[in-house]
Amino acid sequence: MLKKNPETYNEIKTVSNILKITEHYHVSEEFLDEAYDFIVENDKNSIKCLKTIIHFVGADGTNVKTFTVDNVFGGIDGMVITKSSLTIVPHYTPYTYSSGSGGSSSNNNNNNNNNNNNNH
Amino acid sequence: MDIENNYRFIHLLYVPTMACNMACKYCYLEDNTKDEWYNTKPLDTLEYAVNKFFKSNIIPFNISLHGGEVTTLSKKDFGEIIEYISNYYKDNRMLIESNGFKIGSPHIKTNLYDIDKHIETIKKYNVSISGSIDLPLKLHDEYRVTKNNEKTLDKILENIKLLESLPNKKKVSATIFKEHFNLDEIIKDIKYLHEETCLDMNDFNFMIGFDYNSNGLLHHISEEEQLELFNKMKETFINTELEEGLKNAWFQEFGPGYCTNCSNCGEKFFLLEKNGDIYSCVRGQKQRNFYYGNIYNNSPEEIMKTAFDKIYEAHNKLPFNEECSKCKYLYLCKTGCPFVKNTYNTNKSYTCKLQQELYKYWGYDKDIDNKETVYNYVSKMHQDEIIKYYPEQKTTDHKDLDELIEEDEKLKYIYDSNCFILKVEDEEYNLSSQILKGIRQIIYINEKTEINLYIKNDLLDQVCDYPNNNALYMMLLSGDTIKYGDEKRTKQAHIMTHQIYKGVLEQNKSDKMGYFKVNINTILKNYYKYLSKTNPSNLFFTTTSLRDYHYTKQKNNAYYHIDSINLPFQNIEFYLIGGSTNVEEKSRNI
Repeated sequence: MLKKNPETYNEIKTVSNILKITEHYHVSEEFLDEAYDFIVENDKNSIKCLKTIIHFVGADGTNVKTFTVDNVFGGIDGMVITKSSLTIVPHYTPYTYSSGSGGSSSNNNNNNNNNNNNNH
Repeated sequence: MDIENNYRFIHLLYVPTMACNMACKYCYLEDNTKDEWYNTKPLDTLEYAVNKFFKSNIIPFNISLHGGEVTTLSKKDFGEIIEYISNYYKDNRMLIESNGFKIGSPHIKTNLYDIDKHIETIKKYNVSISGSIDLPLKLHDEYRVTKNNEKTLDKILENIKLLESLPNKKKVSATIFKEHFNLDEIIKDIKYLHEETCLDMNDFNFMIGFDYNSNGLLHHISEEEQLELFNKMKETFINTELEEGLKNAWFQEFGPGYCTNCSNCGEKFFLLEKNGDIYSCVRGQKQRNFYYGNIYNNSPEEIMKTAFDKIYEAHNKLPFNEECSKCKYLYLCKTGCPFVKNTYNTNKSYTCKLQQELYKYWGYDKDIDNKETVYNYVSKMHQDEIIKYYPEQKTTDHKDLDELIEEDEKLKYIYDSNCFILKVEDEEYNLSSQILKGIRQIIYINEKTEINLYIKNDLLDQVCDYPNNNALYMMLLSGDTIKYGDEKRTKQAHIMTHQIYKGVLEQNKSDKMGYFKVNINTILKNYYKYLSKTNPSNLFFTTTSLRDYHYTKQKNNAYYHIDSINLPFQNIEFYLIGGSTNVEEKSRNI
């Protein structure tokens, strides 16, 4: 578990947020420590937890570090953690795939044997 | 996918030799067209890879041969590989076909220059042949020459004659660059090849060249020229013997069945070289960013994961294109080939206009309300952007809430995300309707947290004849639920409502132009002990008049009632820490 033992209100907020990650992803103790340190390093830093990746996002919006993960417990499509807040993206359930235009189109079987390079 | 056995099916392009008998001036492999693995039998690597993939339940549904130039193999080596693929298809026909993939004959991509050497094997195993030529043919001898700079067209046309008596599938393809862009000549040569050779030009492919490493020799055609190409072919070949080709094979590379229109082609398409190296495809061959590993050194699982990750990364060099998010054909295109996008430093398909024209021509439906498609795509391929593209929940049998809001001016303020701003300590949160935003924003507060609310100062005048009788209306709900009513519906427990009249709000000093300000932590504090200790609690804001209007509208309208079954007002969720909440205990117990 986290090495950090929270004492102040702000520390409790941050630790609570970091622990939220464990509700949805298998991550190591080292990861949690690193995540905590990253979040407290700068008020504008954030952690984006997504379906297959977790980004440490710096204050300037760039991805400082990326981890590939399994969103093992499902239920959400993602969450964004800052020092003081938590945004949860609930799993979106599509309302239809029934029409011919509904987004799950191609099977990409590509049996046409034409997988060529353009310059060949 | 075969669910029971959890099989994954892949398209495997095998390069049994890097050697080539020609030296096309624009070859993408540049100096790599020589075979450096003399001691490895070409069949060995393919056999090893297929067996290793099989052990991991990864099944090639198609094994095609590509070069280098496969016809430079000895008769023995070529024959062994073709026999192996032929037997592979026979042995695995049921497995592959029962999972929805078609099985063909062994297939080779060739420059046709030395195909005569292998004619017996080609005949014996009904090898399907795809040859490369330059159109107009007069350019063929200019660009496609031997290593001694000799012309090749005459010999290739002679070789095509050798195929005449064979029932095998035989086709050619041509890549169009700006230098080839003489449409009348191209048309003339298509007709010539169809009428004067054994090639069935209904089974011909156009490809659009991109100038990433053509030694600066060739240049890509513009999107307008791509359209001109298609339109000219349409105009010329409709109602002719070649109409079938025009409608089908000629432009299939730009259709949804092709690898360039996968969300993540790294899940399905692989190129294996004789030395065991695995790349995405011929475009990515010898490119570091499209190298997935080596079958002799890496496990299939590692290779598959690297493939997915590298293609994901390639698609994410740039953000998801806004135009693509509005495109009604995203469900077919998936933004195009990641290799070309990276090469051109763009985030949309380089044949976008042509693809749109073709989709129309082929009769594909437009995905008019494409928000779900966009979300499905970004949640897989641009995960960073899921919040931006999170769709509103939709209904299938009646108008959606956003349509109802658009039709009723008075509803607007109930859902407007600029009416309330919550300032918690130094951080501000624009509150929006929980129904519309879909995502959940959760904050942490304790008894000492300073919480101020800003209310747009004309909000109390809306949907209200007597604003002085109107009030800010706050609702506090616990994260714990209760059951209520005859139906025993579960909902969050109401803890308190609190109203502050306009006349009071007007007297408070505000530091935000256009907004009233009210400090609410002293109000909330009285109720903290009633809040959930485990789940986020909920704080809603509206005005008395807007709340009345909402319930009147609900009473009179079934669809609105269904669409706003949960509280629609602007809200924020929060955990209370301090006292004896579980969150704090959990934190303390770390």
